[in-house]
Amino acid sequence: MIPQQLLIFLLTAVVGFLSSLLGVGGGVLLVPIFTLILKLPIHEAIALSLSCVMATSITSSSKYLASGLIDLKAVLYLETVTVVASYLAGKAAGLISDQAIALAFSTMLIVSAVLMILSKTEAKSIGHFSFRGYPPALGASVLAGGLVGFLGVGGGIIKVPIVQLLLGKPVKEAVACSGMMIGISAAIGIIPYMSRGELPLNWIAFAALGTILGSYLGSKIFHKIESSVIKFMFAVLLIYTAVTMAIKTMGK
Amino acid sequence: MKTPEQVAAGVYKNILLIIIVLLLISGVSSTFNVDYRGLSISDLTAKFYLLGIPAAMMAITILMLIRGEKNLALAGGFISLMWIVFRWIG
Repeated sequence: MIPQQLLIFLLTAVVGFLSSLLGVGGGVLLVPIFTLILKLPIHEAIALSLSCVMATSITSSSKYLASGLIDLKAVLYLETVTVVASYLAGKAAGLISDQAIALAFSTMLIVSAVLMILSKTEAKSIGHFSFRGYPPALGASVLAGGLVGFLGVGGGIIKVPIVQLLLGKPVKEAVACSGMMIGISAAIGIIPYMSRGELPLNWIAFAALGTILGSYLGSKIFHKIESSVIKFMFAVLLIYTAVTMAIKTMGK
Repeated sequence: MKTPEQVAAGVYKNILLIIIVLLLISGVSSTFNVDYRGLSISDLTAKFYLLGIPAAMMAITILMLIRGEKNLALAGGFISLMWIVFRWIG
């Protein structure tokens, strides 16, 4: 029992490290780890993954907020619609075909990845609050929340491009904002799983402590990495997620 | 005067320290199967850990309200309210 707990701690530390650098929750990596190693049912794996996302978010946000990389207005305004959409979509998930949504999701991820790679100019921070870009960003956040609720993954994958492309933030600020937003979404998204008793409480400590350690180390070296490297890593992650989802969907 | 982001950073840092302590207690009690009158300490502390972000949102809302940052307080308050409503609905 102890070695398995240690293994989970180490694996979640690695995922937390990558998640902190990329502004994603790490659900795409955590869910397979929990289902394959802990042999948890998929719903419990998703719930445990969401609890780790919260840990990653708190750790990285405490650092990024102090560094001035997070625009609190952008985070809170976008999350007002995301949390509602996420919860409602999660409740209504059974009414719409998973395959149809997953294919649309994969397509959108690939488009986002291509746009991110092609955008050569680095956006400058606006520096003060502006409504420019917010209406489409709020609309996209509703879509993001809906997709997260239906699919259980994809918070940061969608939010980084929203903040970068629609609000005109540099990629590092987009990653930092996304890192804070995914935690808020996860705190709401985990509620239905808790209500159904699908959250394995005994694993939370080891998984969450691992992600805290990993994301702390990730946020430490975040400033030393070039934006272009983060952008490239994120684009690769987007394409990987899109292809994986498309293959899984076609396999059903 | 601190910016709203610096205030939120202080809240998140405090929450981070609290959740690390809670998770360490949860991990140790889970390993040694510690319970108090049949109540699992590991489960209890893990449940408190899950309150971390909602608690941070509520703290940020109150602090923004005190500072007169009405828009931020409104947004934070809305998210906190949604968490309470959804938690109640289940």
